[in-house]
Formats: sequence, structure tokens, C-alpha cells
Amino acid sequence: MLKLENITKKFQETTVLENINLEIESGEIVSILGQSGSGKTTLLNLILGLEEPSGGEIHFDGRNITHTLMEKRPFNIVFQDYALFPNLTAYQNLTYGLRNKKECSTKAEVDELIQLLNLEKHLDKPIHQLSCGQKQRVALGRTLVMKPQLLLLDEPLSALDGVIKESIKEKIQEIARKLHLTIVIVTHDPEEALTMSDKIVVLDEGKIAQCSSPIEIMSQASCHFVEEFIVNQLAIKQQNIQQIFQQSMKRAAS
Amino acid sequence: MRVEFSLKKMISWIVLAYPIVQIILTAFSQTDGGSLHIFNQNWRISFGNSLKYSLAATSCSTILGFFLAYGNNFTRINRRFLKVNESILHFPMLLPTITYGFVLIYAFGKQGLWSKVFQQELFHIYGSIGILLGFIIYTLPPIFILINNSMKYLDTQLFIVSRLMGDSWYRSLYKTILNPLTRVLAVAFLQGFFMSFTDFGIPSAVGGQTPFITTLLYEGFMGTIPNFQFGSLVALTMLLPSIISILVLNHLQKKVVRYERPRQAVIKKNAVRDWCFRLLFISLSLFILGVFAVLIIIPMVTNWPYELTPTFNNFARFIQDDSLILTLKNSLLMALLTAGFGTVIAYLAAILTSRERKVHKLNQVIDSIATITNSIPGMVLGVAYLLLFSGSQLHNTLLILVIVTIVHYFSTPYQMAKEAL
Repeated sequence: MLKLENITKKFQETTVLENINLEIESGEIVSILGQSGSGKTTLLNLILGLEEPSGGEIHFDGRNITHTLMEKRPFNIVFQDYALFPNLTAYQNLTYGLRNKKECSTKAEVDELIQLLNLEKHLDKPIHQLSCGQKQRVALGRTLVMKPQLLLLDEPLSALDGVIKESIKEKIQEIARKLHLTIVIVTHDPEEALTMSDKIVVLDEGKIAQCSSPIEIMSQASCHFVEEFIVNQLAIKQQNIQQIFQQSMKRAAS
Repeated sequence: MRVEFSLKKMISWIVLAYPIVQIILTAFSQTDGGSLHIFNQNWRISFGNSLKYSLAATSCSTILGFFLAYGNNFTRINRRFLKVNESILHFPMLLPTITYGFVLIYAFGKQGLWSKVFQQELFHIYGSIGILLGFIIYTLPPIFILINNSMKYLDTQLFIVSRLMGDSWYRSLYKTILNPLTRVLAVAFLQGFFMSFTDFGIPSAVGGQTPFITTLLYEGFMGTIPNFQFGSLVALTMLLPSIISILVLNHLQKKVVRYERPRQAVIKKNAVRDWCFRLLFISLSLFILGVFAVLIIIPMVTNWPYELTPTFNNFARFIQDDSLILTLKNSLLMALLTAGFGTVIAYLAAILTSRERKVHKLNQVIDSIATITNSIPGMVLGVAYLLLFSGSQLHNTLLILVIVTIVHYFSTPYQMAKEAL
């Protein structure tokens, strides 16, 4: 379990995060949702260990990891632009970490993962020949072979479109359930957060505005910001889609 | 065996290999009129000195340039501090190399500023130390600019990924920073090497009794008894290193890493690292300021080092001298025209070679020209243009100076633009 206690982060005089208290259970998918500048990437960096908090503590499975180095934490990350090694093939990227830690995954486990991610046909391709969805799956696979106890996903779907977005969404959920993996997703898209997560942490100007399940957020928005940013935005989207459906059905009937 | 004749091989043969074969044939031929024994002891010592000092100084400059660029990009040092230091480090580029030699003498020579301040000579400026210092000051700014420029476009998220994948810090540094920079480091090194190898100003000012290939060349072209034939042969032997450099650069071209969307990751807090780099920047900036301070102090005293009363008379005399003002105007006009046209040409060439894949042969020619022109001393290029345009309408005009200077300095802006595109 990951536990954040009174986390504060300041950059010189600017407070980016203030008194963040959060508990993430093992196997849970949690989304950190917020607008640009709300502090979500800073929170991700603090969990990963790229930044140290100005105040408060971070615990993982009962161990204080506030000052533990990034590489010593049992976490891994998939960056928004995937950060794949451009001079290696898909397979070489996927198995990159096994050169250092062979014990992480067996050959059979790697093959199973490749199958799960539908990457069999693309293993020998250089990175620039892969589509965005394929790159996303390679990046995901590269972290999964290392068997992290917590996986951080930085805007995982922002570069994807339509059908690929939906299939990656399903893939992430499938992997999380199958491997009982704790996943923290950073996103600015309410729809993404609501459809993927067990729990959503809504950040507003460095503070937690609400932390609840998607259903609770939609039914009981805790403040005006959550209502405006999530509920109303999705309601407008829903209305627009409904209108298009109704119009198309009328036309089809006439 | 299939023999491939590419345009590049032909150019390499015509421009480089053929003249060199001719030189070798000339050098070993024994005619009655007395052959030009180009590979005599004098040439061997001069060539060896140029090679030795250029390699040593450029190695130092490349290492320093890399650390400075690293400090500039991968630390949390205040941006304003870095900007000020960067400007100081660029400053020597604004002056001709012969000035470096003289400022070194005025700073560290027997009557130099710092010898007076410390009441003793800190080191003997004529010979090894003077030449090395001069070459380092000369080559560090362009080397630093080249490396710094490329380092800005590295995908630093890869360093984090590499660390998370279990690579050690050194391996991560190698895989994600040094390896993608291999070509630019080689380009910077070769650039610095040729700058030193073909420089005449520094060896002539602080070289002392140490002969260099460029001083030998000067004797050939402009010595008391000029010998154009010998001078030309010396110049051609100076092309030897450029053959090796073309081969190295072509080999490294295969290693170029092109990022789709390079991203800058958060730089971790590390006070010790930041202080080490601060000290490096401060000490280098202070050294450069210390050396070039004499340029500001000496014109403001009556007669350095004998009469140190402050005066503006030297400036007044300069302003009143019409011939000096005319010289200044001519230099400014030539520099402006060279910079204007040169930038456009270098940038267009870089766009062509880095973005346009269809004209592969032409790109190879441009690359070869950039390497070859960089390795030809300015003096040789000047004489070559003089002979080439002799009798034409361009002879004795400002335009010929602009053309030859653009050709001479084409390499650095071209390489910089190419690495960034």
C-alpha cells in the first residue's frame, strides 16, 4: 500500500502541492486528475522519486521511502511520449531491463506478455516504424517485464486516438487485474479517469478537491470545481452525443 | 570484385588523394635540379609539433566543453549565472587568434599584468604552456557551442528509464548522453583539432623556438625568400588529417540517433554536483577574464609596462587617424556581408543535408566540402583564391574576401545547424 502523509512541495516561494494525504491500496487503479498546473505531474515525480517533498512523508508497504532514491523504489513509469530507445528494436526495448535483472521475468513470461500486448508481429521493427499504439504497448511491456509493485502512467492515452485508445484502456485494465498491479495514472481527461480507475484524486491548485470512486464523484461532487470540471463537462459531452444519435436515428427512420 | 565509383570517391580522389600522391612522388623523386625534400627533418619536427599540440589542446577543450555543456543542461544552477558565464566563455571568439598570443604575453610574460601583480612569472609563457593555453582558449568556445547545442536536444527521459531498468549511473550516462553525442563529440574534436593544426597566430606569437607546420608554411609563402612550390606542398601535406577525419565522420554518421520528440525530464536536486559545476564555470570565466583584462587595461595607460599613468590619449589618437577608421569600416563591412550571406548558405546547406534524403550524393559532397574547407589553413585558401581569380573582375575586391571567408568559416555554423535540425 502506498501512503502519502501531509505531502507539501514548494519551488522557491511557490507552493505547488499542499497537505496531500492519500492511500492507494495494492491492486488498485488510481487516477490523479487535474487541469494544467494543478500539480499532478509534481505529485507523480514525488511518488517516482524524481523530486523530494518539502514536507510530509511517503510510505510504501509500511516502509518510509520519502528519501529513498528513485532507482531503489519498486516502481516504474511509462512516460507520455513513451521514451523508447530510438536505436533499438521493439524486442530490444521490451527486454532492456532484463540485461541487468535477469531474475525479473523468465522467457516464458516475456512471451506471454508479448502475446497479451499483441506485439508478436512487431518485435523486430525499429521504433520509428511502430504506430503510437504499438509504441505505447512496447513501453508498457518494457516496464511490466521488470515486475514493478507500482506502475505510474503519465498521460498514457493522450497521444492515441479512437479505437486504439479504447483497446489500450482495456489492455491496461486487463493487465492490472491479471498481475494484481497497483497503477497510478496522471491525466487531465475526466473521461479517461472515470472509465479506467477504481479511485480518482481530483487536484485543484495543489490541493485534493475530492478523492472517491468514479460513481461517487459523478453522484456527489464535493465542490463547485469538481462539478464544473468533471460532472458538467461530461454532461455537455453526453448531451452532444445523444443529440447526434437522435438526429441520425430520425434520418434513418425517414 | 566489383568496383564502385561514387561521386564522393571521385571528389575525395581529385581533391585529396591525387595531390597527396603527387606530393609523395615529388618528395621521393631524385631529379638533377634537386628535388623538394618535403619530408625533411624540419617538416617532420614541425608536423609532429602541430599534431602533438593540437591533439593535446583539443582533447582538453573537448573534455572541458563536454563538462561545461553538461553543467549548462543537467544541473539546477541559476539560469542567469549560466548565461553570464556562457557569454564570457564565448568572448574569445570575437578576436583574431594572433590577439590570443599577445594577450597571453601581456598577461603572463615577464612584463605581464599577472607577473607584476604576483611579482614573479607564474610560468614560462613561450613554448609548450603558452601554445597549449592559446589553443585551448581558441578552440573551447566553438567546441562548447557545438556540444551544448546538441545536448539541448537529448531526450533526458531516457536517462530516467535507463536508471529504472537497472543500469548503473555510468552506464546510463554512456547509453543516453555520451552515445547519442558520439558524432557531435567527434565533430567538435575534429573541428578543434583543425582549428589548432591550421592556426598561425598563436604559434607565431607564443611559439618561441618551437616550429609548427603553419610557421613553415608562412616561410614558404611569405618568408624572406618565398618558395611558393614548397609552401604549396607543405599546405597539401596538411590535408593528411582531413582524410582520416572524413572517414571517421562517415563511419559515425551511421550512429546518429534521431529522437522523435525529445523531452526534458526533471533534474534531480544535488547540491554537491551543482557546486562542482559552479566552481568549474567560475574558474574558467575568471581565467578568460584574467587573460583578456589586459586588452582593456593596456590601451588605457600611457606606455605599458613602463609608464602606467591612466590616459585616453591612445583612443583619441585612434579616432583621429583616418586610415585606421577606414580599416575598421572595411573590416566591419566585410564581417557583416560574410555573416549575412554565410549564415544563409550554411543554414540552407544544413537543411538540405539533414532533411532532404533524395539528394544523397549532393549531401555527401556538402559534408565533404565542410570537412575539407575546415582543414585548409586560411593563408592557403587566400593564396589559392588569389591565384584562381587573378586577372578576373573579382581580383582585388571586397567580394573575393567575403567569398573566401565564407568558404573558410563554413564548417562551424553548418555543423551546428545540422546537429540541431
